[in-house]
Amino acid sequence: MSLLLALILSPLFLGIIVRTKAFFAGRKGQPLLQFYYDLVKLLRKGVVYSSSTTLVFRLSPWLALATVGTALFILPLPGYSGWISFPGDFFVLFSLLGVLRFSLVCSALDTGSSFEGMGASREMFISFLAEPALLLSFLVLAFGLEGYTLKEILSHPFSIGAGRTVALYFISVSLLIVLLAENSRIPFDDPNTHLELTMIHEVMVLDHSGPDLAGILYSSALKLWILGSLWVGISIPVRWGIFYIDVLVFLGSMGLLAVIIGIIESILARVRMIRVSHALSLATVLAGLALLWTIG
Amino acid sequence: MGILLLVGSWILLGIGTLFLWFLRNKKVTHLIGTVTVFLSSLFIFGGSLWVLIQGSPDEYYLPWNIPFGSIYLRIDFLSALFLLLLAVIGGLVALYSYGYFFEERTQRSLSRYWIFYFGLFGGISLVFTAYNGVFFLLAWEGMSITSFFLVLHEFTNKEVRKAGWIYLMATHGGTAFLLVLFGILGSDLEVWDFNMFQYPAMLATPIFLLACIGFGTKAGFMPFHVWLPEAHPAAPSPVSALMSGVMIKTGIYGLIRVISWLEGDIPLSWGILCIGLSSVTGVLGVLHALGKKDLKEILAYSSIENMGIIGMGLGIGLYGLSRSLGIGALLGFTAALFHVLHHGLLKSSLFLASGTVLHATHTRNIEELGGLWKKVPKTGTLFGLSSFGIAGLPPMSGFVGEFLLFLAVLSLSIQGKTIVDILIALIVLISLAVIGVGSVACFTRLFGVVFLGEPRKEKTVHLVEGWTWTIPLYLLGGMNLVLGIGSIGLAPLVFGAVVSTVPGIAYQTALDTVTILQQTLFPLGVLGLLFLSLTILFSRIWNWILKNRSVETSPTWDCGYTRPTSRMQYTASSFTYPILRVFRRVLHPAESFQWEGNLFPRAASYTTTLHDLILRILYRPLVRTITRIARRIHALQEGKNQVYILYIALTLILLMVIFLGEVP
Repeated sequence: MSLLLALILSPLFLGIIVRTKAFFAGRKGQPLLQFYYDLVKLLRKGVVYSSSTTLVFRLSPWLALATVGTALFILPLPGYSGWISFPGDFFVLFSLLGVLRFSLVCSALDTGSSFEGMGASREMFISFLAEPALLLSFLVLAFGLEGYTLKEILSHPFSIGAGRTVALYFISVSLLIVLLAENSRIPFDDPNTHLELTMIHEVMVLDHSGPDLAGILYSSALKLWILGSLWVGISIPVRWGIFYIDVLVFLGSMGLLAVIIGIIESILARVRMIRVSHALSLATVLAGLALLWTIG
Repeated sequence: MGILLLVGSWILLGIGTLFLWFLRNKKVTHLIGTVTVFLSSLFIFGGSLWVLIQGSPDEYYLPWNIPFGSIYLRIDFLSALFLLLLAVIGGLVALYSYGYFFEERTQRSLSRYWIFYFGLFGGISLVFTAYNGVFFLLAWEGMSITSFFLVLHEFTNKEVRKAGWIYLMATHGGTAFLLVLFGILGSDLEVWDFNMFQYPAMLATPIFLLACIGFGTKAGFMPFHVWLPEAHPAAPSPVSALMSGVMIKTGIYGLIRVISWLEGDIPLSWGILCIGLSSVTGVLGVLHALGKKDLKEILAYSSIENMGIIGMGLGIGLYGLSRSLGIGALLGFTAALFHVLHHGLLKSSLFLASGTVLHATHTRNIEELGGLWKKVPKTGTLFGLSSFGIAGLPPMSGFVGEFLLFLAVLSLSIQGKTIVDILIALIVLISLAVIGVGSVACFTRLFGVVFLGEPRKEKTVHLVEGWTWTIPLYLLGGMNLVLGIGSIGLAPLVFGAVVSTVPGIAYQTALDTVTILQQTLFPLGVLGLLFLSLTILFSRIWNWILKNRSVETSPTWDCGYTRPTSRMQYTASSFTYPILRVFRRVLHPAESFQWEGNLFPRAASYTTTLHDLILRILYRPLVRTITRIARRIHALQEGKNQVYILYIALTLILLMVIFLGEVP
């Protein structure tokens, strides 16, 4: 179920973000379903490969889709079990996102373009700072909730104990920062700009075209969905115990998250690359504070 | 039978040495060397497999008239596991050596190389089986000295001689600590047999420290790692592969052996010390790997980083034992052993592939390389695959150890609950995160800069990838993929070695850990298969989609700039500059910036160099202090006989004054 929802709705998620930003800017904005049209259009085009590239470049959309696809088998609906659930499954989930990063960075370096090299370098830099915060947040959750699996962690975050709920707020903020950084959103990266020097994720896929680009764009939409649903599972822990109501609540929460991201992108400016490390250290520090709160 | 096969392999090596000694035909000696090692590795493989399948250790005892010595050979599960690694890597490296030195074989005799290779190969296998202190130390020294001569293979180069010297110093320094270690352990014994060793209660912690230093030097724990980044670039690539793949693991083997003699309580400080040391090793190792530009030096630092991961596994194990959190401890040890095997396979294949790069381009500086994939596609593919694995990404084997380590941390923190437990978990987890992403950055950089893109300097690549170049790489890469997905198959062997070695484990704890291993490694394999089949599925879909479409080729899009050159590519240094910049206060990369012309830019150059942190803050000042003191003392050395006689007379008078009253 979680798999199908993600596959179907993740482009809509991006649509909601864009519409929210348009609302704040006083524009009408593109249709909510624009990303579906984009994907279909790209899938119907031919491809242009750079003469510098090798098999690594062609592999990148396949690997990207395969990693995100595998990750979706682990990802549960909050409160329910994923298709494959085992102790430590969230570590595997994060490592799969690492696989995605590896293949994208390699494909960027494969083109030999200086812009794509720059994007690859920045992508590594940001994830280098984001990963400790992500793992630390989940250590706190696992420790506080005594859960080894995503299902146990996401089921009832508030059972962490009355005195420890503050830790959850910290983690929620920390994870939101990580979510924005990992998915190249403002304030870390601007998905809209087309000035290559300022971009991170978009610049890495400059040379992808046609179905390849569609594959990459779709997999990054799915990645946003995956991290988003982890955030929703922790931050909006409303569980009714009735499956379809929970699904509706989950979808509503995801919509809310999209609006929140849209608002953040509307009111914040992109920070300088040098300041990125400060913002991400904040995420790690918040997770550390949460840990202290959980112990104490 | 296991011992018999092992002895058989040694006899084979002996016969091979005789042949190499007396034969003068260069081509034949080269062939004999390869075949001998290959056959004897088959023997060792068979022997260790026999022990593992048989399920009971195999041993042989013969008294020896050397003081404290006895010829005590024993293959238990731990030894068998390490021997298996040695057999696989040793054999394949020998096969690769055949191609690697193929052109050299007509210019000069390679019998020296092969005799020392035999020595190293046999020495390591003896280290893994010797069960007596003196015997072990002899094997250890044999291994160190033969590897020293192998490092010196290209001894006409001054750099190589310097590296060899540093290696010799480090390895002998380490051995000195081991001598003291065995001396203390065996102080009450007539023979230093391993099964007789007991910890004197008072000296337990000093013993552990000695082991950490002595074995840690070989394993490359910081701050005893300085020989690794020197020796690996200097040694021929097959030698680096064997050294990094197997020889440094003897340090880990030794540490586990020392742990296995423990009885009773383990002080909490051991685990904490081990974790602290290894997390520093891991993090600094990966940061240095990010800053270096020498292909093999980067691989050496990556080895240091991986030894950090292994050490963290051991540390978690020790800590778990002393906190009697059995499951966490067992998972920690299992993670360490898994990572030993996987790192051995991955790193040896990377070193072998780097040998191909070196052979094809004659440079180790990655800033001069690029676009090698198109020249050596098979090596490129396998280097990429191994990079993927060593970055600790699923479904390759490098991931399994890290995953189990994570699981150990998780179980330690959830079951332990005290503040120290959480802090330990925190340290290991943060290190693991930094190491994980750091090694992804390091190996995308290495693979991307060396094999992808366009050549940064025009180089003529003259290398035909013959089968001796690629077969070992294919086998190692294939093993890594298979062991990554089928790690559940390897788990009984590894876990058997852990349970039979680690002291004080309750039966129920072991059973519970087995359940956890089954619960995790099996789905991990399923996910790995899923990942592979999805990749293949998408490649099929893409082929189908693109069947009737236009597929064009054009130059890389460089934002409208029409004449991009390969010099405009991102360099290796710029790729990791942002990360290193965060750590500049710690690492202090040396920068030099030259800028000519004032308003209008003209020739400018900018270089960064990263020097080893430990070398800079620890060893350089230490050596400087020692030199200063030595220089002071040097004043005494006059060079005139009269002055020396005066010294003797003064000493005598001094002694007489001191002992005046005591002499009867």
